[in-house]
Amino acid sequence: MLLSFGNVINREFNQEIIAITKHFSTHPFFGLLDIVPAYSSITFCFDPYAIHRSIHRTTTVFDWVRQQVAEHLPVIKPVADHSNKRVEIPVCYSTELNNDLLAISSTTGLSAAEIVHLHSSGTYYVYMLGFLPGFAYMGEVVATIELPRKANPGKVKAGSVAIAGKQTGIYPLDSFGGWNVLGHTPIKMFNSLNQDPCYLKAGQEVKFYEIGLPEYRQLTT
Amino acid sequence: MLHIIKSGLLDTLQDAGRFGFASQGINTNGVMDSYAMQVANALAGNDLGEAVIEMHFPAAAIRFEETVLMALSGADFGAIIDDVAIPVNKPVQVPKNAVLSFTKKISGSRVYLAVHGGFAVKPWLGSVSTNLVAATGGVNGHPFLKDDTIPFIKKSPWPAERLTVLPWKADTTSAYMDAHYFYFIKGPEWDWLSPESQHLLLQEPFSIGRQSDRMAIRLLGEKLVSVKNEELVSGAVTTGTMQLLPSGEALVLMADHQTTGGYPRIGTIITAHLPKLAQAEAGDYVHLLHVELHTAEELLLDLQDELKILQAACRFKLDGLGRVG
Repeated sequence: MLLSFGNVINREFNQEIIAITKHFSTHPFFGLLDIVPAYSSITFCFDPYAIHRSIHRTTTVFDWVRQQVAEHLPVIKPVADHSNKRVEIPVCYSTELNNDLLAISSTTGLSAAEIVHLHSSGTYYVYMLGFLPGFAYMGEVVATIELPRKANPGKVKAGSVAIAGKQTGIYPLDSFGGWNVLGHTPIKMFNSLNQDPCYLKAGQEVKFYEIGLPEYRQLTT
Repeated sequence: MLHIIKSGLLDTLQDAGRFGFASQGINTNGVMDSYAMQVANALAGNDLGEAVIEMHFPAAAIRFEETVLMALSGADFGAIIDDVAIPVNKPVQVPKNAVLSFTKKISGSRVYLAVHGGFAVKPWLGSVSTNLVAATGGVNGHPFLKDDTIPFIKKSPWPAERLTVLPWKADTTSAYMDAHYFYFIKGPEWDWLSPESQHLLLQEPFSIGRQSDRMAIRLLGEKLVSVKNEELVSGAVTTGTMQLLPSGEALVLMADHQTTGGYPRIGTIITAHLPKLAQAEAGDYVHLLHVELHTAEELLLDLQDELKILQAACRFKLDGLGRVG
């Protein structure tokens, strides 16, 4: 069941979505399998058979689920979560690591140093995780480095820090991707061995800071 | 335990999927054909959602290093155990050291192997389904390799001295009939399709593309056109979601789909028809028929009721065999 706030990117709506996700994660209705929060929508996955077998109903299972969600929505309020401290992430912007910085420079007319400065001086909000385990969709980047996705997506290494449109993100795994890669972080965004396998969470604020190549190499070994 | 003596094209351990972690971008994975998984488990006397081995063709050769009761369901790949033909949808008592292999692709795309009691594999985040992209879950996070071994949870209560195909069979007609007809419900972006494209989708057949895999089944046909110029903000997708690609091609997301996507969701193939789609082969025709949500629900609930009856009937039959120990 999909609950949508429209085709928009809006931080207030997103904070409501995070609050709704938290509410139903801790107070799930019977048969709830999973919740998929996104930029401006939240989707509830449920087990129709379990609900059908266990709950006396006069309508469809879908209508029952819709009713469960609708009953709780009015009481859910976004709460400022101070435990979500700002996360600082080191990034090596060296072109020796095979990034798209030179291409971005020629598209935008900005020097590599200016692009690095613009990207690392922003504070970004994590709207959602999706695409890959632990891939955080963050925004918004300044208009001067807003770029479309690459026409020819290619192989992207885990740890690649990239931009597309107003968004910035970090590839948690080696993958195929079309975002413009600015740099690389030595931090693992996804580690299946950790109890909490993903480094970032929706609702957090992220700041990037620049590190040099030697430091990057030291931190990745 | 069983021993992979030859690896196949793509053999993985899967269950009903890993739910509860989509908010972290962790996708569900799980079997492509959940009906075949449940039939194999019912025949093997298991819970319907017990882990199974999913195999594509060419499939693995497997040696059973202890006696076991097993069942195959889904695709027919001409299974043999030590030269004896093994039908799908029947329970089989297998003696120690027997070798299961597959000789030819007869029908379907994926075969499922269940053993009584299930496989003893440590779950990751509550599921043993293999996540190939994150290289975790299943057996070491990868497709089976030669010499992988997979232990069984328990010893067979029906030890077999010789190979025996038991004399009862699951009837899977209702899940796979009308193999080329697929019901769908309209998706959130159905209206993004031009009226001509909506008409096309409802009237013209598509065919299954060769590049289909566990992530998506590609539908080849005339190009579909979006009337909207805006970009869609990423949102949830699910198994069965029909996405419209910028190229005008449509695809249906399957078991290994991502949690979210940014392409228009023009429809969703109903869950009761996903087993058919999972077994469809490249070049097969696909006719799409629009239904309302209540129909989708009724068909799924009916199918699941049938599986519950099958499970009860199989347990009754197996109890009649008399257990050892």
